[in-house]
Amino acid sequence: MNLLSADIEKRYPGGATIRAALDRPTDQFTVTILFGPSGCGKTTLLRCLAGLERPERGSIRYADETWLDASAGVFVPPQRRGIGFLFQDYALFPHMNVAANIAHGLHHSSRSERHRRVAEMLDMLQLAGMERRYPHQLSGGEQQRVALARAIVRRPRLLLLDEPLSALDAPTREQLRRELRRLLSAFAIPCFVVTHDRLEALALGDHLMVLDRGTVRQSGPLGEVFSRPVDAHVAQMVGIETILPARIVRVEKGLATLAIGDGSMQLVAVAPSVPDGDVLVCIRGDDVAIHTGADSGGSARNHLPARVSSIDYEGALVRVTLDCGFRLVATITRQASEELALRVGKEVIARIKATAIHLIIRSITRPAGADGLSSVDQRPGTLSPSSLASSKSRSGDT
Amino acid sequence: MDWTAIWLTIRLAACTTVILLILGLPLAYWLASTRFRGKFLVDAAVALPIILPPSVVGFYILWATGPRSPIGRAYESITDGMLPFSFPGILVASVLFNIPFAVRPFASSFAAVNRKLVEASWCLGVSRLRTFFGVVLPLSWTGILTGLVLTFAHAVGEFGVVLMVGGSIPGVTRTISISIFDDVQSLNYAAAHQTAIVLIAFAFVALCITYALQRRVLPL
Repeated sequence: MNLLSADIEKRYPGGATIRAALDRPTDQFTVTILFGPSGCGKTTLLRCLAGLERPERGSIRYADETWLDASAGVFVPPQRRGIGFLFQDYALFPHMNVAANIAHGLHHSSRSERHRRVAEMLDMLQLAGMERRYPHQLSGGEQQRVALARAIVRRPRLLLLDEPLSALDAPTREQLRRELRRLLSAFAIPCFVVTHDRLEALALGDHLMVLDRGTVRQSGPLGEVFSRPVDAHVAQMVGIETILPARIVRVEKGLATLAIGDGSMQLVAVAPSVPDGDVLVCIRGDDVAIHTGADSGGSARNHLPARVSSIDYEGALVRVTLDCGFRLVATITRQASEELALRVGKEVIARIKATAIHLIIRSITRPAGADGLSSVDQRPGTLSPSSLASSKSRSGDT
Repeated sequence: MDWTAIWLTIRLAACTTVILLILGLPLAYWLASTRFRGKFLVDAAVALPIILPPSVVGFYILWATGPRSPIGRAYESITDGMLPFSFPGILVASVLFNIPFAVRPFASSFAAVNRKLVEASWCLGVSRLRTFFGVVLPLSWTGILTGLVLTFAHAVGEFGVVLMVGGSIPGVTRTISISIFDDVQSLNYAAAHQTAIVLIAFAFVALCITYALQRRVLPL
């Protein structure tokens, strides 16, 4: 397997230093998310991969090519890395129309070849009829598609996207969050996406790298990082403890019934605006209440019989991992834990309000011939989001 | 009206402008895009002629290009002539003295081009040179045109440096402003008036063009 390997250190005169190491496959479609708060160094890391920044120390290798070897003075400029870069504000050339923007990187091709490839892109990204328009005459979503077309028309080997959705207004952003993953998988180019938005990370990614203050705090399959953060700090940044692949089986009176795993486990959630088949179910630990006894009253729509599988103390809070046919994390106070006399193995009821379940629509890329969900290991308690990551993509994270 | 002087002045100003277009663009682009920490030294050196009296600049150019200087000797061995009191001499002086009037507007218009556009072009595999001509130049041409108009106008009106280096040889180094000076010295006020009014009108038109370009009044 060919790898993109980087181990770099970039210093800024102001004192900030960014250190990061990564190894990602290059010969299959996989989306790596560089995630973290602003100023954490994620954009700098992306720019180093592009060759727009030159790290003081370290190396970057793409398959058998050396893009950077700081100690030997090797530095390949962005022109010769064969990458596509999508800028945060798209950076369309304002003096060129859509067709000229897309064709800008094709100056080596013949005129007819240029025409053909531009037409192909216009068609693929639903931009037909707009080739004579100028960037200021396009909506935000159209600008993004032109920028994507311009980046991929050269058939790059690696696509780098810097906050691809942040320049859009909220409704467009939500719509494109759903579409972008589908588009990227159609290009079948390995991608790196910088974002600080966890919904964006969930909707787009396969692999997640969490950065903070210039260092990588955690790196792994998306679901695993979200469900098993290495420390409280990462947990706070990612903020969603339980993530499950699920399927909407019916929608009634604005409520969606979701089948998890083989369908023997069900959850009720508020139906999304576009009820699609496959979704990711996101539940924050704060939104899961634990009860003992069989009281089924109250407003919560979901009552799940569960067994406590582990208890971790984090200051005033307790992180309780439950097994209710899938892995569910609840964060409760230490006091509540003592009153409930929680211990590993105890039978409890987990309650979740339908409004506390957040659904992310995401067409799941299945391995050829396999149903994405049925390929998930379904022994009780092992339907974990980390198995999600390996089933929904061919990324080879496992 | 001293037509010889007017023609000489137009030739001097046009040559100065063309030379500064060729030399000034790369220098200005370097100034606008470099992360070199000593850039302020180059900025200061470029701006010097704005502050220095023309006599100081003229004196040093005279000294550096005189027949006893290495430059003067090299020039003499190649062309069999000398730089001071010749058209090439006042052209060198004019170019040096006009550097800030070309380079500063060029550099500020380059700096106004969004850096991301340049980087986007590089990431599309387009070379630095092709990016300069395809992206940077089309987006900064108003600033470049402003620099060229200012340079031309300033070269037309230059007096001190040209007088120091070239003296007042009719048809060779006697420009319009020197012709006015000579007319006044010989108390020929009528001739001085005529030429001076032409210069005033010309300067006013040139400045109108630059301000209109900056405010995008002209439909260019």
